[in-house]
Amino acid sequence: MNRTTEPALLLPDKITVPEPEVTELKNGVKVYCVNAGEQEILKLEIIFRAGEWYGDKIALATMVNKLMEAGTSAKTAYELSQAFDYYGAYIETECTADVASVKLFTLTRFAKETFILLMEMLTDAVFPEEEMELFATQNIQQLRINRKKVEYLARVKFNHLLFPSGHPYGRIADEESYRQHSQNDLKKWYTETYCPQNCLAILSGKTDDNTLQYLNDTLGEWKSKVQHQPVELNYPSEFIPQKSFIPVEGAVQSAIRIGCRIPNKLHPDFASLTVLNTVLGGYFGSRLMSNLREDKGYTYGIGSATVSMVHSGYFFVTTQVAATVKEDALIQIYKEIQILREQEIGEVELQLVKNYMIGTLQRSMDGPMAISDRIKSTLIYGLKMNYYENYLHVIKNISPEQLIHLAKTYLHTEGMVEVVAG
Amino acid sequence: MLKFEKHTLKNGLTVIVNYDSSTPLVAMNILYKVGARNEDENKTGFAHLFEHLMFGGSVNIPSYDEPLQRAGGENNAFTNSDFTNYYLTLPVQNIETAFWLESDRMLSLAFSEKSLDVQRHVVVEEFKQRYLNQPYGDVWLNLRPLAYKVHPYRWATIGKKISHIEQATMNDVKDFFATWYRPDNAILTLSGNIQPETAFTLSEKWFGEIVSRPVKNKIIPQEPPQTEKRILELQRDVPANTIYKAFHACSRFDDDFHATELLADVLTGSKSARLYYKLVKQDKIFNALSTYFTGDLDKGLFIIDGRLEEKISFQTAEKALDAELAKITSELISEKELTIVQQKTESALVFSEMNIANRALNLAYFEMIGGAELINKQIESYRSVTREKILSVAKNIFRQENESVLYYKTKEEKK
Repeated sequence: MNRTTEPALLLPDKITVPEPEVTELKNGVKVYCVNAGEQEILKLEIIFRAGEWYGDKIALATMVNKLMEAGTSAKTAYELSQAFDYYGAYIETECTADVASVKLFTLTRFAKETFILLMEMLTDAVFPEEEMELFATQNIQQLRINRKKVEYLARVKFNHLLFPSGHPYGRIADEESYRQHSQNDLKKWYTETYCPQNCLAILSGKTDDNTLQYLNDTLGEWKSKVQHQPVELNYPSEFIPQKSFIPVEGAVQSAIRIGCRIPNKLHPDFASLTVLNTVLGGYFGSRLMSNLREDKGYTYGIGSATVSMVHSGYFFVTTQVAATVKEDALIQIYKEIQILREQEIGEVELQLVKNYMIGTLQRSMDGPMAISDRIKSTLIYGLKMNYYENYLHVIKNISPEQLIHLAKTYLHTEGMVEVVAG
Repeated sequence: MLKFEKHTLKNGLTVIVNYDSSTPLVAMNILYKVGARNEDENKTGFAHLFEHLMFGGSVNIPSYDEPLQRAGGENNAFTNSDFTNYYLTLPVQNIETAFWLESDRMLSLAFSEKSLDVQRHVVVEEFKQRYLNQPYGDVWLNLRPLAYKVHPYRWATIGKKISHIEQATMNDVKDFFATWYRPDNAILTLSGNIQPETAFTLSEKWFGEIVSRPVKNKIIPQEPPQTEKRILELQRDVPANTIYKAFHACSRFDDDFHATELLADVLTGSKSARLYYKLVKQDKIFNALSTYFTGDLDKGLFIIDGRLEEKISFQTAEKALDAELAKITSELISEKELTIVQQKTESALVFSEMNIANRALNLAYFEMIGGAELINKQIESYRSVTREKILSVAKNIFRQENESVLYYKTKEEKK
């Protein structure tokens, strides 16, 4: 047997991008359904335009999102938690800068009971003051712990420099943030943003004949008392490239974060930039990993990413390196970015990256709950699932010349925000 | 109910396949039955360092990662006290690449000096990043040797100290490979769009010729029963005082295993769990509180980990904690508490079967502990736990002489 030759490879020309079934409930709420999978389980995610973007009060959006679990007029936090526990169901709340969501994970056979509980939380949360106080003390202690982490210090400073002047993507919560909002502030935000006109739902997993009916009987019956008025404020789209150093006494490693703003998913270049980023630091065999980890042993890991948010996007490199080598690590990172701008990528490397990315795209859509995440990350931009067909097309067809052009357009080594902590 | 087929090659390699035609992918998992518990006490951290070296090229293939990525695949690995696990997923049409790569590194490694040198540095940086440069990062480096005096669980997977990693030699690497990386000491599992017959044929083709090496079984010294409470105080630059209690508990093979896991959930498994509710929400003694059972192959630990509220003293906190433990060791839990933890465990198990990589790992894990078919008996095992069983397990665990306590203090704290 020949063990020295790589087996022949085959990669798909097409990827099946599953189209969700769209249903409109009685009250007009759209539900995207992915009925698939072998296990008798469901995930119901209800997504609201209720992230920090829609207000100017730091941490208010997060507090409302997290404290929805803290009790209703009929149930204390304890009773509500126990009610979900009784069916083995889980609630997860998530608040990003753009959207806030509530996710329910349940066995299909308890769909009816758990949908009712979920609606109780969404329509009748009361935000008890002692729960607000507990939330504050827990978050303040966590904040103090985070401030001992070089990675955290570099990350929040970086976001702040990239999105300055109170921009919701760059705001940093401090200890006061969690105590400055009154119960009325929370209730007002809750009533105005968590309402049927401001949401959509994704249902994934193994549904049965009754699941949609149950959803119509619960979520579909929701009628809001207020007319939702989205508030959008304007923030500067510029940032000032600069270097920032945060000394940390006794740190044996330094956290590094370097990056700049780029367009988001709505721009045709975003997909191509993701390919460029993969070459640089988006996978284990990337140039940054090969150089700083596998050649020099400076770090346990280094990576880079392109991030898309509804109103902007950014690119960044992140690592933690031995404190003694941080200067050279910075030199190497800039060197690798510069090479992207100057030297054409070789055919073998580009083909590897393309194949890897196609595999990653397939993995990202494997199973109903993975598909539901993909649906979410297009819907919030008003995009459809054919976004991924286009994305596959971009990966397959991008050329070395296009990559150089992209690097020259978007990645200027002198146009970066650089933060080093420790 | 997870369906699978099992086949053992002549060289002792066990192969298990779960066929799922709904995915275009396949996950491959190889578990080697070697972990930090098999290490020499003067060469700790070696099983994990070795895991890094498994990516440094094999006898016929200079790079593991490159061809896998070219095939659209992704992979990773982890090491713990009991075993070392390698896993990958890729589009099923390229499955042969996975067999080619995994079989070659089971056949033999390249044993490259450059790779050893670089990975020593990488692992030292991992040590710093995860254990030294993090608030509370060194808890396990201290708690393990407090709770274990004899068993190799007394050191963490990363190793006792950085110098052990720095001193690893190529001879150590070769010895370790010859001793542990044998086909009969491994379990190969696949989950995804591959028929069992196809997988068995490919396993014969690629792994069949690997010769099994002689077994050098080293007996792992077992921990004698603890006879008195142990205490350790540490002072660090952290923002909150934290208490860690470690109690000796049962092994993965013990009849008490499932009850011990449920006991941890009864105490802090959710916001309505009794310990969490009483001590965090009601009495505001702790700001964060969790309990968990390590569930290791040899006798593991039951841990209580509580971060104190700002103005609460260690003495007050421990007294409150002990009062709750006194209750759970003297009174039956309620029917409702039992139903809740059983129901939650059941749905967690069903959710964990959704992902092909998880399925492949779980099959390998259960094969290691006695047979892959045990995977389908889990729900029944948790369902058959009674309130009386939980009481007897709690009584057996929460004894003062069975306890090690770590007081992890802020710098400002003076006692």
